[in-house]
Formats: sequence, C-alpha cells, structure tokens
Amino acid sequence: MADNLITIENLSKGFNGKMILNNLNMSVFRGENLVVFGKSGSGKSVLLKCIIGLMKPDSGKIYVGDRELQKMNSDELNTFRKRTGFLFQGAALYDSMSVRENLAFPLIRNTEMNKQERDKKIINTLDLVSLGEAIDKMPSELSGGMRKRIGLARAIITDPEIMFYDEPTTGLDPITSKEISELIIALQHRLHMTSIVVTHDLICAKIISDRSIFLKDGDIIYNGILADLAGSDDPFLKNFFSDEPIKSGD
Amino acid sequence: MNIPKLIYGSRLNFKESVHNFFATIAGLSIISLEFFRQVFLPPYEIAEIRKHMNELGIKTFPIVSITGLIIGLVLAMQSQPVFVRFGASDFLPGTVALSVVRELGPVITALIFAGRVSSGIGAELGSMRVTEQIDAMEVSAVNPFRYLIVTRVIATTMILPVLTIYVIFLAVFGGYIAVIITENMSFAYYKNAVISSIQYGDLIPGIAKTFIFGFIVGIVGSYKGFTAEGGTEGVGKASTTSVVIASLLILLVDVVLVKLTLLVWPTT
Repeated sequence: MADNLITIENLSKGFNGKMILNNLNMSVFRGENLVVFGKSGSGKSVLLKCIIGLMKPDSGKIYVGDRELQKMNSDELNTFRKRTGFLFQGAALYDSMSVRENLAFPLIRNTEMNKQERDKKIINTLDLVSLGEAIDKMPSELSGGMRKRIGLARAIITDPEIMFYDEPTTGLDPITSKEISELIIALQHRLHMTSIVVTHDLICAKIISDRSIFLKDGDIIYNGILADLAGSDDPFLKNFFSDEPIKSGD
Repeated sequence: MNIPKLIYGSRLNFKESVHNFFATIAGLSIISLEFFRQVFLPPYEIAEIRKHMNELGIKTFPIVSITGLIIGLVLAMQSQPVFVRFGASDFLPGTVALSVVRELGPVITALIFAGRVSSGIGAELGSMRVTEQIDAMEVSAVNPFRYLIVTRVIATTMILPVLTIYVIFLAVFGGYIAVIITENMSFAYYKNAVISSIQYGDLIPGIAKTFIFGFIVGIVGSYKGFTAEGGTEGVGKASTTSVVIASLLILLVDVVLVKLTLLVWPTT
C-alpha cells in the first residue's frame, strides 16, 4: 500500500456563507507529484493554504503522517513548515530585500549555518535555477519568470520534503512556463520531494504530473492519471481541456 | 462630528461605520496585548529594530526640523506683542519653553510622525499582506508578527521621544530668533530664562507621553497594514486610515495624560 504523507478527511471551508471546499477527502502519497486542477475559484489555493495551516478549515481533519494538523501547537506547526516549501502565485519575494537576502531569510532563522555556509548554499541554489547572476538584484529588477525562479529557489533552499506550488506558471509566456515546469520536475528528481501543484496549465501538468485530481463544486470529481483526465468523456472536463471555443449550454 | 464615518469614509452606512469603528478598537486592543506577549520572547531581531529606527529617524528628520523651528518662531512672534504691552517681555522665553515642552513639542511631533510613519507602515505591511509576502514568511516558519510588527512598534516607541527632544530644542531656538528680531536679548539671558522656568514636572511628563504616542503610531500602522485586504485599494485604505486613527488616538490619549499629569504634579 502507498505511503500516505498527507491525508485529508471531510475537509470543508467556506467564505461568506459560500462553501468552497465541501467534505473533501484525499491523500497525498510520499514522493509523488500531485496536480490539482479546477476552475478559478474552485478552491485549489484554499486547499493548499489549509494544508500548510495558513487557513483554518471550517470542519474536517488534515493529517501529516499520523499527526493531526489542527491539533499541532505553534512549535509543532513550525516544525512541519520547516519540512515544506511553498511557491506562491506571485512568487511573494520580500520587496525590501535583495535576492541574496530573500534566500538567506529562511536559512538564518531555520538553520544553524554560519555566514560562509549560507553564502555557499545560496549560490548553489541560485545555480540550480540558473540565476546566479541575479544574486544582488532587488525583486523589482526581475522579470516575471525570474521572480518565479527566485521564489522557487527560496522555497527549496531548506531542502524541503514537501513542495507546494500555487499556479507556478500563471502569467508566464509558453516557453518560460515550460522552462519552469521542467525545472520543477528536475528539482523534484534531484531532491526527491513530494509535490502538490495547483495549476490550470495543461503543458505544465503534462511535464510534472504523476497523478491528477480535479476540483469542482468543492469536491474531487476526478482522481487518476492525467491522460485519462484530459481524454475524459465528461462534457465539463472535455470542455475544460479543449482548445475549442466554449459551446453555449456547456 | 461622526467619528466612525470620518475614519472609514462616506461610502459606508452608519451601521457599518459603527461596526468597523468598534472592530478597530477591538483589533487594536488584541494586537496591543499580543505585542506585550511577544515583545519579551526571542528572537529579538535587534538588527531589524535598529534598521527601522534609522529609517524612521531619517525619514522624519527634515519635516520635524522645519516644524520645530517654526513652532517656536510663530509662538514667540504671536505672544511677544501681548507680553510687551504688559511689560512682561522677560517671561517670554519661559512661556515659549513651557508651551513647547509640555504640549506643543510632544503633540505636534507625534502628529507629524503619525502622518509620515503610520501611513508608511500601513502601506508597507498592507502591500506585503496583499502580495502574500506575510504568508510566505509564515510558511517559512518565521513569526511575521514578531519580525514585522514588534520590531516596528519598538522602533517607533524609541525614536519618537528622541525626535521630540530635538524638536523642543529647535522650537526654543526658534523662539529666540523671533525675540532677537525685535528685542535686544542676549542668548545667555534667553537660555537662563528658559532653564529656570522648566521643572522636572514639565519635562518628564512631556517626554514620557511621547513613548505612548510612538507606540500608538507603530501599533495603528501595523494593525491596519497587517489586516489589509482587497488588493491595491486595501493598501491605500490601510495607509490613510492609519493616519486618521493614529492622530485621533494621540489627541484623545493626550487629554487623558494631561489630566493624569496634573494629578501627579498638581503644582505644575
């Protein structure tokens, strides 16, 4: 039987009376790349934020291993978070810090490294995302693709066991999207992480995905491999993955 | 005067304005309690506090310098004809100094500081909130409250008294400039008159309350920025409401503190 790293039971979360996640059940297996699909507003990002503890579910349970997330105290939650990396949709780089300081930030606070060790780690991690030359730039000097790469570098610098990606290719041109997706899969192979990727981007999903789920109306309507999902006969899923214009009534 | 509407703008109806007003009071109370709970816990982020103190000091230095000089200048210019008419010109240095030390220096510096700094903190933290930088800090297992709020509030609390003392000196000097334009008074005489008129009961409460004003400026800006929502509009709102709330609180707290001061030093 597969090794469950994260297990979610009957998770519900709503805003202003509207349920975004509704009794959702799912598991994330150790070492897999799980892609989460869904229309905008279907609760994909909310799901990620509930798993990492940025949002509190209205009901339901989230287990990390055999430990329930909601019952963790702040120290235990921080211990869990130190095992994770999170790439935000807009990269969420700290505007007031240079690239070097952005990458040093989690290292200073979460590791015992001295300055030399930190500098070496920062340079090595920037090399992994092919942006060594950007080390002393400010976030405002970076392009969208560069920001995503630096965000990725900051997320992986502490060698996380679990990576969360919130729309890693949104707003990027197709070539940069493909580059970021290939970078994610290369890092995954190199660092042996478990990844949960929220995306709309089919090309990104094709490169990354081991397994896919599709969220609709707060629940999972598909759970399986991407090829079957993309080739589904379900009219809604067919329409979602189709290049053709939306037909009226769909 | 409808204070809730003044703070939250005219787009909200009365019920929403009152609700927001009390929500802000509750939020400020909670965030203040959380500040005192976290301020003594490590890590202390000394470098960050020092950085904020430098930035805030440099940012407000030019405006408070001009203001300080002008307060003293105008106060002396306005008062001088009356003092001359009653033959009491010798009392002018003491009057200028007492007004500046007890009230004008601390309150006006605090209001300017609120306008410059509270809005800046509100905008900066608001921008960090809406661009998920605060979330990024939290998922990095770093306590954003301690790193962003505690450091800024300590910095504003520590730097405002320094700025106020500087403003008081400048205002007193401004008073001297106004005096020598029309009268033949030596600087030594003016200085002695100022020193002899000021007592501890004037100086200590005047400076002590600026610690509280500094705390208000930091905590209000931090609260509005940290709880900002709704994109760039939310950032703008956080910035402007920070100034209004901080300024109103400074004035209200000043009334209470003046009353308390008169209880502790009744002769002053």
